[in-house]
Amino acid sequence: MSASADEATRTGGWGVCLDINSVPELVEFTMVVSKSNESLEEGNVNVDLRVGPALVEGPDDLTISVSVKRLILSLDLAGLKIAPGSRFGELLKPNTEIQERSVTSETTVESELKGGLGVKLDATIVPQVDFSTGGRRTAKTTSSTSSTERLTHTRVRARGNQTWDVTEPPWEETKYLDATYLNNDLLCKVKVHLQKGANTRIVQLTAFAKQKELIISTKSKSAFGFRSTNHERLMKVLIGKALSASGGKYNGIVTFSSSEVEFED
Amino acid sequence: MLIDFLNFESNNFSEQIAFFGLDPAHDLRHADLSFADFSNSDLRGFDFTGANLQGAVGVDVNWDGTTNFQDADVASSVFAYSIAKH
Repeated sequence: MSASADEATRTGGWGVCLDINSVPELVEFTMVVSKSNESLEEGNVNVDLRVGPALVEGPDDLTISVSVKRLILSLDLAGLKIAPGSRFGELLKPNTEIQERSVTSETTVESELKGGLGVKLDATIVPQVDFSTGGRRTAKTTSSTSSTERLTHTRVRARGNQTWDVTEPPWEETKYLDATYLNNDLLCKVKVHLQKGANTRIVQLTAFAKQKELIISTKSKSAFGFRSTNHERLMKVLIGKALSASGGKYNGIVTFSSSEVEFED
Repeated sequence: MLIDFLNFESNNFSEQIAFFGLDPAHDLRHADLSFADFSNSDLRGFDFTGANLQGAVGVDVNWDGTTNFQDADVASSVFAYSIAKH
């Protein structure tokens, strides 16, 4: 399998930055850490993140289409910590909640009454009058209620353990990520964290997905089909493993990109 | 290798794992194995942490305490009843 890995070293900002994107067509991000204008002890972490479906050429005319349902950004810091209140996509719930509901209620009543009066004439006998009513009475009541509800979704959402979740709203037709999610946005601010004897500072950001969050489909010029569900599922496990840029033991986590900045005081 | 696997006739999960050279103690974590067939497979030592095992089926499936189902979704699967019981 050929995945076009992209490795770039950049200078600028606070130090030398190394970006590794294993499949840049699928997930590409760059990170810049620069000194904050507000404080010498603080730095800004700005990130570009683009995600979209990618085609990877496999062996034997096999084309593999890969897209991601959910991506996680994870930040690792050494000698630094995240400045309080600076995280991008922080879903802060207000202390006081107000609920607004508009309810429309409609009631319809339908009724019907039918009766009958008949006169029977016959030349040979006395005319007969029939007072039988044969009446029919129906009543129908319909009531409907409608309410309006507003749903919100944060695409890049700050989570615990210095991570961010990147997802599309569940009500969107497109179930995979396909957009620029961060465009040089300030992901967070970092502050110098005093540690005895340590003067090296490291900011490392990693983008990964669990292998079950990948959407993988395969196409081939020749007749192609999976023998069974097992064949299909295990083929996807193998492709996920091949896509992971992680140098260590594969554990079902597909690491697409990482960016690291190291600098000294 | 992928094409060889597609032509691999056995539907036995353990044999397929061995054929692919996958490590059952690591590679199946967080995998989508929904509706897979585990019939006649020995799953002892397999790690399904965080995996999607919804609707997985199988007869004569051999698994014990060394099979890890932590955070796995086992709804409507062959494992659901035993895991719920424990």
